[in-house]
Amino acid sequence: MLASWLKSAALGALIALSPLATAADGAGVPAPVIQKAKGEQCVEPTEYMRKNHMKVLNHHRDKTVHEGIRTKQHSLKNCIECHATPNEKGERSVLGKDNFCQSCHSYAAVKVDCFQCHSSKPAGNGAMHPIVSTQSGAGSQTATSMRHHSQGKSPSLNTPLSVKDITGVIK
Amino acid sequence: MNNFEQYRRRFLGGALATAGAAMVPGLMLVEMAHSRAPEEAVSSKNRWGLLIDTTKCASGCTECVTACNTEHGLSGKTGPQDAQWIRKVELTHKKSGAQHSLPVMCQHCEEPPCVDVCPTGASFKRADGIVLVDRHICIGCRYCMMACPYKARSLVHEDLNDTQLAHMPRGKGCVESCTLCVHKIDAGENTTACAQACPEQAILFGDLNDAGSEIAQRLATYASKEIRADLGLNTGVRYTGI
Amino acid sequence: MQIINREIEGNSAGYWALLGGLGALILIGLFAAYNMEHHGHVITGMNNQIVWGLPHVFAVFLVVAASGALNVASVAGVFGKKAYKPLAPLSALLAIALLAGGLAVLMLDLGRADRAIITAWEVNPTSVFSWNVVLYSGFFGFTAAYLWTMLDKTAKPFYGFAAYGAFIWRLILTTGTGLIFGFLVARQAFGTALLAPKFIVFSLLYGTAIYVLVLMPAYIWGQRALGDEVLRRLKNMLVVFIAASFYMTLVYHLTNVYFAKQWDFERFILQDGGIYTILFWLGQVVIGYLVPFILLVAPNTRNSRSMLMASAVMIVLGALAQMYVTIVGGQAFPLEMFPGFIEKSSFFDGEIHAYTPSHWEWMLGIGGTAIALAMVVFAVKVLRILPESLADDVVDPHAKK
Repeated sequence: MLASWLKSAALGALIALSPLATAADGAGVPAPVIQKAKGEQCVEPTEYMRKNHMKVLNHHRDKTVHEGIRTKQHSLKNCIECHATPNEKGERSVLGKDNFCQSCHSYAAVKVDCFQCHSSKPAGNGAMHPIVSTQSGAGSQTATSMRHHSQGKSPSLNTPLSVKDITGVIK
Repeated sequence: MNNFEQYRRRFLGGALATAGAAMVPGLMLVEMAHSRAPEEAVSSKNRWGLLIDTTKCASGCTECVTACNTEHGLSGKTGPQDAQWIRKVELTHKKSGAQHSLPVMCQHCEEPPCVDVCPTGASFKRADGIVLVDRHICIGCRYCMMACPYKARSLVHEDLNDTQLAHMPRGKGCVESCTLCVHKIDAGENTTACAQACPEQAILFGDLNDAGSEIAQRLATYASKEIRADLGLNTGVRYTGI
Repeated sequence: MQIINREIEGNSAGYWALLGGLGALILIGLFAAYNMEHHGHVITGMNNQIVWGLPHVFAVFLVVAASGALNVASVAGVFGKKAYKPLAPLSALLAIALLAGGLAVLMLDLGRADRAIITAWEVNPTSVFSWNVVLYSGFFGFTAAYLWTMLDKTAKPFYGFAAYGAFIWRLILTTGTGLIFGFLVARQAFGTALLAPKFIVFSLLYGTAIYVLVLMPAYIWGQRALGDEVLRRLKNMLVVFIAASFYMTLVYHLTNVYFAKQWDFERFILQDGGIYTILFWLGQVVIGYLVPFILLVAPNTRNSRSMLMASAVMIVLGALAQMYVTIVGGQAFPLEMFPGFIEKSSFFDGEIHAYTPSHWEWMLGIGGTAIALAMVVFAVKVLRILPESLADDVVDPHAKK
């Protein structure tokens, strides 16, 4: 029992908005830039991280806050230690147009809530004990020894991502 | 007693004192060997607390406040909407005029009213007695701020624009308070920024559950009190001298 | 004579102007909420000393009034007074609408409003706020079911269950609202079990007053007959509830004045508190209780419709004053951590805490009220809430004249 004008308006809006749906193939949206992080590989295999990093972080944060478990493997601070790269202002950060977290999340249009509270920059004051030393180019033994054994080849982080990779993350 | 006897007594006393002092590092190493590994969860084996000797606390001195602000990246401003995790309170007795000065922070109660009222459980007490805010689930309702008898909690009123320190995440819209420097405790440093900074060593940090710790021994020896002891909250922060 | 409920036509310019005006107020309220969320509470007058301010005054008032607005329906459904039956659908609708408006203000004021949904599964059994998630949702459910049984003849078998359920649920809900403050042991204004029944009594007064404030214009603008009998009954209820509210206020302050440790706080509210003292005596007591009571009881004025309207308006103003004194005044008075000492610190210990509401808070509070009223204005157009006629011979043919 919708008024006829209402029906026409709804149909028109639906037609007008439909081109947006086809934008999912990535046409016109710049692909994310994955800058190389410190060390040779991540604490977990890349595919695993792409699909599960939010679950890993969500689980770990509860253990840290409520039980005081501060292992570095899945700690957000540790992620930032390696993945922070210089942003437009020259500071090492995971936020910024082409920086690690924001680049992918902007592409996937998934809001990342962490950095309202968490610093996006690695600790530099030595009050905590960074895994990776802050001297550039250093891949410390501690860092390497903390990595899991990866299953196979270590993927190059500079290959452009396809939509399939990203949609796998969203799922 | 002749000179030789006196000399003998002094010698034995000194020797015993030296032997005792030599043992102390060994005892401390035994303490450290018990400190918690990072993958181990906290337990109620420990209960962390502070003992503040207000007779040593100088009126007008705010070293503890400054240290806390620096340690946690707080602005240090004291406007009505600025967060203050610790503040110096100057007391004047209404009848006698007697004056005291002491720092007040979250008292880390054993029965925290803030934990009782929090709708999401974000305000919680860790197994080792530290009362914290899980800012991942804090919705910013400020009920805990209403409930706290010590006005220990602050709301972050504005965006912090990535100025936070890496080890102290804090954000707009969530409530926060003194964490008893939980990051230092978990790192094995077993002290707090305020305790370290006090020039008179008025703040003593320790494990209330460890009968051998200095704080426990002092609490067992000297009269101390909780602020608002009438509420029956069994706070982890105690005061002597008032 | 059969009571027939009919939708109002809702075609006049006046109707659309009313709905449009309320809509504009809602948009302004949402704009305020957006700004508060985007910039943080720094733009409001609330601070670390006065953590709950004007939005909470409005919100708690709306929530308390919501529970009391259902009273008219309960008198019919639970206490069996047939004369109130035609009034029941509006009562239930008003209860739902006022609660929705109050909750909207509360949830939009949260520091992290985007996380409000997690209260559905992160439950703290000792927190009254957690209880309220269940109590408020349940109230919506019960009252909506109650309204359904009133409007839909096929649902009549469930009428009794819905009526009793809504009544009992509403008492628990208002108890919970009072205990939000009652459980706060630390503050001298709160921490008393008396707040639960006090809020229940207040809810009866505020809810009935709002009922009158909605009913009378609806029938005037809707050009429907509204007889004296209905208004006489509502007036009598208001008189009783004013007396009961005054009693609760008296007992609360009298007991506080008795305790030496509460003298400073009572002196603050009753004498030295500036705005709080003015709002208490002039707002709550005189405008909220004394003047309406006199108007509704005195022979010259008790039969006057305009005096009834005026009294209802004054009761609502008194209600807002009462909420302000309770909620903000209770926070303005500093915590006494060291009895016998004068306290001074950088964190405003020992001093009366200052609060000036910002325009954002007014916008949010008024916006929430507008949500409630807009829901009512819209619902009476699409649902058969209002009886065609509430003339005396229709409502109660056997009423004594």
